Amino acid sequence: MNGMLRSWHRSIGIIITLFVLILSVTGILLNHTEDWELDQHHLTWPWLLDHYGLSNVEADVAYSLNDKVITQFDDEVFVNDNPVTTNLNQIIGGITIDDITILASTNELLLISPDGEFIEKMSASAGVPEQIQNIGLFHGEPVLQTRNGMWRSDYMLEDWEKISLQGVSWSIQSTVPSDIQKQLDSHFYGEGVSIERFVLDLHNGHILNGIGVWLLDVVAVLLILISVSGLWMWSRSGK
Amino acid sequence: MKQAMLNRHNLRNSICLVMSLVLFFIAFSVEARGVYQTPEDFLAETFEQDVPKSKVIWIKGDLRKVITDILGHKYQGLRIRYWQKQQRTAWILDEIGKEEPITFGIVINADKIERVKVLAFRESRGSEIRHRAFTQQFKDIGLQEMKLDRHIDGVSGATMSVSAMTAVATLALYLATLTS
Repeated sequence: MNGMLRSWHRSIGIIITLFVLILSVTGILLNHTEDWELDQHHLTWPWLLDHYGLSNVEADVAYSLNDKVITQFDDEVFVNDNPVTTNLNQIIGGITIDDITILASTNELLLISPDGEFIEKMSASAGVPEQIQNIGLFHGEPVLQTRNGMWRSDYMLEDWEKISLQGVSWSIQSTVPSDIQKQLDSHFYGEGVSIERFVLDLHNGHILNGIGVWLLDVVAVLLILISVSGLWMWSRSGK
Repeated sequence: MKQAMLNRHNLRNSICLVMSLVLFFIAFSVEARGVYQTPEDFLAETFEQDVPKSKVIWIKGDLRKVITDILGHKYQGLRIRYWQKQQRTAWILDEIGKEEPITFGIVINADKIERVKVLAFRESRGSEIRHRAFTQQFKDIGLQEMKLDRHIDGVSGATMSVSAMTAVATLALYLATLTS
């Protein structure tokens, strides 16, 4: 009986060694979170960010205009990594005239200053044609393609004349440069995962989501068993 | 036996009543959101189909500070558009109620509010401010020391929407003084 128990005790000991080490080390680290400023330092390992769902911040649309990258995430419009305004409709194109960035969505034009500040939203009440499909430039003048035909204006964007043109340079989407993408990732998800959070999740098993918690429950049961069996064998060894 | 059947019948009726009430409130809250009038229709109605060309006020320097004081936050944008015919001006202004922007149409005539209208309401609560019984309070209100010169009675459950309307009404009155 004692021999079998000793064999089980040894096997359980080997199984839980790694977990005891992790729990001990992470426990010590958590005891000194503030001393070692673990909440102030962050991890940005790609696999870890991916595991926490902090990667793949993908813009709905992106346009490179006048050294600026315009992106839209849901209804939020960004110039580089700065949120500048909200727009319920998706941006469908953009141009630059005299350093002013003009973005078009279905029924509005959004104006952005050279400093990247939101100027104004212009709609039909300001004379802008509705049901816009694209925006482009023709000899430096803004042109809108709408469901109701093609329209041209000047830099003031207030008077639009219906026209038919060939050779309009239409706006096309671009990709987000990696440096801007990093800034946008940082905007949405901060600096990454804090070491404190990572250590805490290692300690309580949340790093493996639901399975991790159950796994640690099993480890806890094994620890109880090994303690009881150890005590039992110790008490028997004296007799 | 008869009593048990009666109890079951009462329980079923109660569940039906609760479900009906829930559905009613859901339907009511959904109905509250929406576009009541487009800015174009509001302007056409205001200027009797003869809408003047729009003008803009650029928000710079001290004006930005004043607008920030009136709204209680920075105005999102560098210019505000308005429409003017003689001493009447019309303004289409967005202001956040609780979380979503409410679009207001405001007409100022000789430095007094002629009309305030909710053109689009996107919040789930507080749409009561669109009713004429409430908006009528703003009629003939002027500006005194950067505030409305008359008290506006609130609406229970629509405090933030009322604040938003009061703020844009004050802003429109102030901006109108810059156009004359």
